[in-house]
Amino acid sequence: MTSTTSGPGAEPVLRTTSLAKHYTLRGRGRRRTVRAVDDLDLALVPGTVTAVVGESGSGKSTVAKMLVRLVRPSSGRITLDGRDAGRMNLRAYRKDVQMVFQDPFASLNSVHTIGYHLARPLLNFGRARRGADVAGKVRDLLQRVKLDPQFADKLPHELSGGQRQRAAIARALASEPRVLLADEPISMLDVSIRLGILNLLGELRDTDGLAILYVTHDIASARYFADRTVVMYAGKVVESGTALEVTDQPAHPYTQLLISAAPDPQRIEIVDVSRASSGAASAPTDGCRFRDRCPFAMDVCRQQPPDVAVTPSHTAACWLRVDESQRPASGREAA
Amino acid sequence: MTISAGSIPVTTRPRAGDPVLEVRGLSASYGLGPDAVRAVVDVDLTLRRGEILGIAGESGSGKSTLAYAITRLLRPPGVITAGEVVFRPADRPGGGMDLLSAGPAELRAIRWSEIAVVFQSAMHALNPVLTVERQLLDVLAAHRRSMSRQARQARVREMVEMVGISPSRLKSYPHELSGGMRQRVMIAMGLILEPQIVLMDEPTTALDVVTQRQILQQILELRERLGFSVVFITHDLSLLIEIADTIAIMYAGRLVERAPSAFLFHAPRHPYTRGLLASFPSLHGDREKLVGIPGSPVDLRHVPSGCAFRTRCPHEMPRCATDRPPLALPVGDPPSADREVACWLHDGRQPPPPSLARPAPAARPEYATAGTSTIRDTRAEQERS
Repeated sequence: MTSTTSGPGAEPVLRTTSLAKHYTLRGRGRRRTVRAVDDLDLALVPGTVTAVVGESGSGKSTVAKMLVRLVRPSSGRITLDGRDAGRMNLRAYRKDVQMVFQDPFASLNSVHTIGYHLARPLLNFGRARRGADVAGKVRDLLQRVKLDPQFADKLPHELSGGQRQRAAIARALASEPRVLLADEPISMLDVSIRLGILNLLGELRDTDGLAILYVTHDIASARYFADRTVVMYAGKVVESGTALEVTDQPAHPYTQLLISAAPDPQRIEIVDVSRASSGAASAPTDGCRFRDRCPFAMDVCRQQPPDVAVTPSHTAACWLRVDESQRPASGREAA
Repeated sequence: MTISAGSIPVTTRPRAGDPVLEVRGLSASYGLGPDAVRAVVDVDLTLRRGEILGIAGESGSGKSTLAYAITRLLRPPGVITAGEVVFRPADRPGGGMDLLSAGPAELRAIRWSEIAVVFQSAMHALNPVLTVERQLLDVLAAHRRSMSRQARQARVREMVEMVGISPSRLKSYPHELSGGMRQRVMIAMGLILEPQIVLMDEPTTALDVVTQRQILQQILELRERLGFSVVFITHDLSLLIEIADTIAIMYAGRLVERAPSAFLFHAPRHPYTRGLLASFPSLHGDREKLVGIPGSPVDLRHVPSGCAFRTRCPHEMPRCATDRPPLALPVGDPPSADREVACWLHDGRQPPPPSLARPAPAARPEYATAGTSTIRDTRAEQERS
């Protein structure tokens, strides 16, 4: 294989090309297509965290579900080490790509012990043989997520939310994956233990060279934890760059809105977000999908903006970034 | 008595500082006897007129139970075991009434009309088979019997416009509205009878950040116009610091710290408050490794002896295991600081660690710049003088 090292600059392990998911709604004679994700190019690199940030309806969870193959893409490709994921045996694929879900109260089976939850994937993916081997590997997994080995005998209800999420991460690690997809892994947890979970995922990135996809609505946590941040709005990527570039010099009006609306005790002035009324659910499906909410909307925004490079590592899909002379003539000029 | 909201001049609003709700020694449990879970223990709080009082805590801290106990909405097995909740209406100066000893008729007169609650989950708090208009009209029909039908309808339209919903959406059923709009309907329902106090239990928790920000703006604007007081309950301390005048922090059913919000943010005195503040990654500055708070939030069935936070506290002393610290003015602070903390580090026997100490006077004027609210600024002035 290729000489995959880890960290930024290494060869991506999981890649998507023009990935899309459209849902058709039928009812009372009306047919409507919801373009949950469109035209997504994403590369997950070993040893890095890629955050996908967006509001509800942005398609961020659909991205994670397609990547773990719970949802079949409408078009586009997912490749794992250059191999077409759609043609791979599902078990072989999931050995390398595992997921941690949002709600640790729902993602563990309440009638089984934590040890059982960890032993199943160990056996299913051939990482342990039945017998004493399993108990030892279960202990190792618990240790990696900093849970005491005695947790193997406990039932989910005996654990706090943070401990459950650690158990869910241990389960995802059982197959020794190279990609971990984490869909809002901390949003259901108490504030004081959220950082513990993010720091744990950060350690796994550094020690195991995991490629982590971190799906979140919280752009401040992406700034803290991620190497790269991808901002999605209504199914489209509007901006991507290093986590610090995107939060500290946001180039797209939507990213700017997200940041100005986030709780921030150090903020001096109150920001007015009253203009940005409607949500992603009613966004237009052509051109720039954010234009209805955008304070800078122009006629040209009816056409799909190109991805413009702000810096070599930072792009934004916005006509404001395109020089006026380079913009296509719009059909109807503003008065 | 259809007073249009805009017609109340802001200047006649009673000055902030005058207490409208006083909670004294309030305790509430789930169950009785030795197995009872004590969810709220000995809580003292004062809500002033026009003030936003924030209550922050993690799951199991008792913050929601406190709201239910104050409004006497706690359902069995929840029981209020001690205390008093004195409501001081604006039109009855001097006279207060204890809600905990009030009879059903008295409570009925006060609930919603004077003290309204905006519940956490708008999806579940609205009736799915009635239109929004019908639900708002029902409130007026029950509480404003003398109002004419037309006056009620006018009031409903006025109210939804005030919270930023087009009256054309009045015929909608709750499922036809977005989460943000449902929450606005809940706020309209809470305010439609022009109460003096609004309790909000995680009113924006399930919403997107932009919607959350819009709703917070709306609450602040409406408070300016209508002059009500707010008890705002949330787990999101970073949000409270922006909108609340005073913040109380709860842990294991008790208040552990209370202070004007700018002071709480810039100089927390309780290790738990400090830990909570350090649990929110910042949108500015260098990326530093943050650690949050070690351990798990307390299980109310097994609360540690002495100070409940000691098992997660980096400053634990032998005394913390045996004696529970009282909520008191930190030794060395002037009474005008208007803050209380329940921690043995501040009893004067030892200097508190620098991170929890009272900042040097030279550093203090900076506090004032953090606040945007006038109440907060006035208080900062008082502190300096």
